[in-house]
Amino acid sequence: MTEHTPANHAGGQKELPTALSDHLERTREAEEVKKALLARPRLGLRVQLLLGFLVVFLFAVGIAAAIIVSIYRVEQKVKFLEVVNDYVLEIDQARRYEKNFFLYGTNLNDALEAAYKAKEILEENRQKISRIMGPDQWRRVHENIHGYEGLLEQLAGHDRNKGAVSDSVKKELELKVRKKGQRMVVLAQDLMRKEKRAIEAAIAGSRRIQSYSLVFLLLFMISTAYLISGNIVRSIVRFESYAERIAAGDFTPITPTRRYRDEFTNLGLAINHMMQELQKHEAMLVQAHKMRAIGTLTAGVAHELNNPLNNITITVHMLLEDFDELAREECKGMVEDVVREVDRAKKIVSNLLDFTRESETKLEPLDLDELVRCTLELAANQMKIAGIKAELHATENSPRILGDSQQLIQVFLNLILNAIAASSRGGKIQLLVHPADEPDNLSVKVIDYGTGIPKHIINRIFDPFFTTKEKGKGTGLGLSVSQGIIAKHGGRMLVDSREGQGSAFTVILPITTIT
Amino acid sequence: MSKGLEVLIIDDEEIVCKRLKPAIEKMGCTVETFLDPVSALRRIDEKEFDVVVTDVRMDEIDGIQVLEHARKKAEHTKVVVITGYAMMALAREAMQKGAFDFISKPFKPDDLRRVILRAAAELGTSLDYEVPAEDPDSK
Amino acid sequence: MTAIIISSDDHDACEEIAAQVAEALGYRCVGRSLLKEVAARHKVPQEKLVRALDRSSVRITSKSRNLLLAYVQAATLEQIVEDDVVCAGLAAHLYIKDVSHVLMVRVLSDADARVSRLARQKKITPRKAKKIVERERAHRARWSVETFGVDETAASVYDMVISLGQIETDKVVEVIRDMAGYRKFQRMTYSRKCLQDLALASKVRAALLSRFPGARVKADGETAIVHVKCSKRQKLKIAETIKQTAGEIPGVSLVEVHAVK
Repeated sequence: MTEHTPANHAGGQKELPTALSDHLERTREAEEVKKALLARPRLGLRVQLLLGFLVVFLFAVGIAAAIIVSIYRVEQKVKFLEVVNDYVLEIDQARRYEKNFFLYGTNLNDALEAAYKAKEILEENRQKISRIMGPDQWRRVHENIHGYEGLLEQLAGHDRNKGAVSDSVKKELELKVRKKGQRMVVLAQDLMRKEKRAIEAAIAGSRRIQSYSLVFLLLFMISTAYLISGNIVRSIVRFESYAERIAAGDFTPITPTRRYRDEFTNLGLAINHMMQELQKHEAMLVQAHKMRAIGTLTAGVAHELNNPLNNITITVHMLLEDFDELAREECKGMVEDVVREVDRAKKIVSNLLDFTRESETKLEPLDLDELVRCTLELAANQMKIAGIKAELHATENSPRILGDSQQLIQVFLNLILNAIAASSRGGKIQLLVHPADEPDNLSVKVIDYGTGIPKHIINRIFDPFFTTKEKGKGTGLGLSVSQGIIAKHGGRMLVDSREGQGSAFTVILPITTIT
Repeated sequence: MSKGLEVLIIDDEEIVCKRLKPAIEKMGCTVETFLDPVSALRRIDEKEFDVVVTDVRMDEIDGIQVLEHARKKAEHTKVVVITGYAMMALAREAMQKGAFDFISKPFKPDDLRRVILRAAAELGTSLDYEVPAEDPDSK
Repeated sequence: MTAIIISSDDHDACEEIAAQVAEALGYRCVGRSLLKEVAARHKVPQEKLVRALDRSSVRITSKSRNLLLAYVQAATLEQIVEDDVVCAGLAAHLYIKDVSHVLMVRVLSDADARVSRLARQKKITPRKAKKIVERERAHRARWSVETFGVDETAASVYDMVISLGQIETDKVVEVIRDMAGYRKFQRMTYSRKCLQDLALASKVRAALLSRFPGARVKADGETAIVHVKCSKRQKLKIAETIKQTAGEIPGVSLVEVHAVK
């Protein structure tokens, strides 16, 4: 079965009132929606992006700061190492001079000077050294060097007072000095080592910060990008769904979904406006199509009127002619004939008049078979002129559907007139009204046994302005407008055609529970 | 006293048949009327008519078919076509198929009488009836 | 009983053939000689009427031309309603529509002869002459569409189109004469009524056109239906005027006036 259907939107019933409300209602609604959309605080895409970059920048700044700080620390440490180096140098100097003194008896003052310098350095950098080796250790070192100093001073005293002290005392002193001296060196070297290790640790730490922060920066940038693009992509996906919805014929306005507005809001406003115009345009198309139908029918009605008019003319003329000879009863009969023919003429006109009446879309429960019958009456003339008969088969007690009678008649009229045009003189068309295959739906089938629709055309017959009639004969509006009307009613239109055999157009409409 | 014409009127509108019958009988013609074209055709097969007045749009059979049938039955039969759906194409088709005249509805009884008078003249019969002349200058 | 309308892009050939056909059939011939009567009736100079009919004339406003043509139209139709007539030179083929017993004939002049004659006269190349002839044709089409809404150079307007380039005048006359006997072109009550309606409508229009240049008139029996451009406010007064004027025309017993935007 060749199917061409507009998408059927879910929950047909409750969407109908919005989609079919009349123009004023729609305009008012549009205004409200516009206000709602614009009422939120604005957070433009550029601002979003800038914020994102700003955050990443701040993070990078933080990392840079951290790196700067760590390098500063290392720098400090290196500077301090120089101080420690000086200290160690002084200690070494003192020991060398001490050795010299014990070997050659000279440089004792130099040794003392060096020791003083070392102690000075130690005292000057008490805090820093305490930090490296602990305050207790500093005290120990200080004590040690203080002791060493003391011993050296003793030595210096003895040296000045030659011979005042015995050799053994001298020897003992020498031993103490040497021991203290050694200990001094050990401690100094310990200090140096500790300091070197501290520096290495600081450098390693700095390197770690650099590599970790790079990773974190990357992760941070990725997540920020995800966040921002996620916003944008979500909006785009949302608009994709709107586009699909509109293509299916649902013209519900776009309403606010987020807590802020941005450029997409403008897009939403523009699309709402576009839908309004589309609806207006659609209404015009429907009207134009209706006018064409009316034009076709009017010609037929004009001809049909000739019969009652003729009856009246002939009766009245004969009445005038034979007035004196006719019996009262006969005269009365003729006048009654005229009255009856006038009513007949009125009825012929009123049918068409009802159809031409401009009215706002009105939704009400309708009997489909009644509608189809009414449409057949309207088309009766065309059928007579074309020499076509119509058969109507409708199941009894069918449920009602919700719709606008004029618009639906317009659709059925379109299908019937097409079927008539496709049939040849003496042929017939069939109309079937019965429950559809899908539950809670009714189907109306218009079947003709004409030439059918060729395969390469059948996909285009619902396109607006597509027509196979010659220039000036058909506008090509019929089927596309009809399909639009049926879509707005929550139904669909299908076509099945075989070349050489005929065509069947099916309209499926949902039934209503409203009585 | 000349013989009147044998006239047959076919129209699915009852009033047309009802009122035109006495109208034409006044002219001294014999008039038969039929609402249903099928029985009318059967009658045409039985009897030769001088004038056949037929509507065009009827169920079952078209007036043009009646025209063709009547012409085939007898050459001298004058067929007058009357219709509410008058168009130039239909008029020419009727003439082509041998109609004597083509009248659009609505028409007055006198309009048909004038045509029958002409038909009588062509058939060589003279009818004792006068139709008031068409006066286009009347107010 | 036919009415034959002969039209051609060559005016002289048109009149000649019309006269010959009328003689061959014993019909009346209605041609430009009618203009004298029209001029007298409406008190306009005859040359003006000729100018109105002349396709190439530019010395005339369209309003004036429409009015003069309306006079010609009314007078011509009045003549044609009486049967057995051949008409030529009065643009009848442009304002008679849907009358089955009117036989519309278009006689095409010998195109090649015209081209060579023109080339000789104006001393230009045949190709240039051909272009001029084509331009004339297009102009004629435009003129007829502007004045009557019908393209007189289109073959679909006519029942018969004969070319003088291929068929001699005698034969043309013979063909037309034979065609006049064709059953389809015989008068019927219905077609006569159509023509009478056209005639009455044109009379009413001629009477209204000076005051209401855009008026469109149709007739049905003794009823005249007038469509005139005016606003709703003016409609009442205008309708009165029109009903008065149109009602005075013989044959009119009822006047309907419709206002269009």
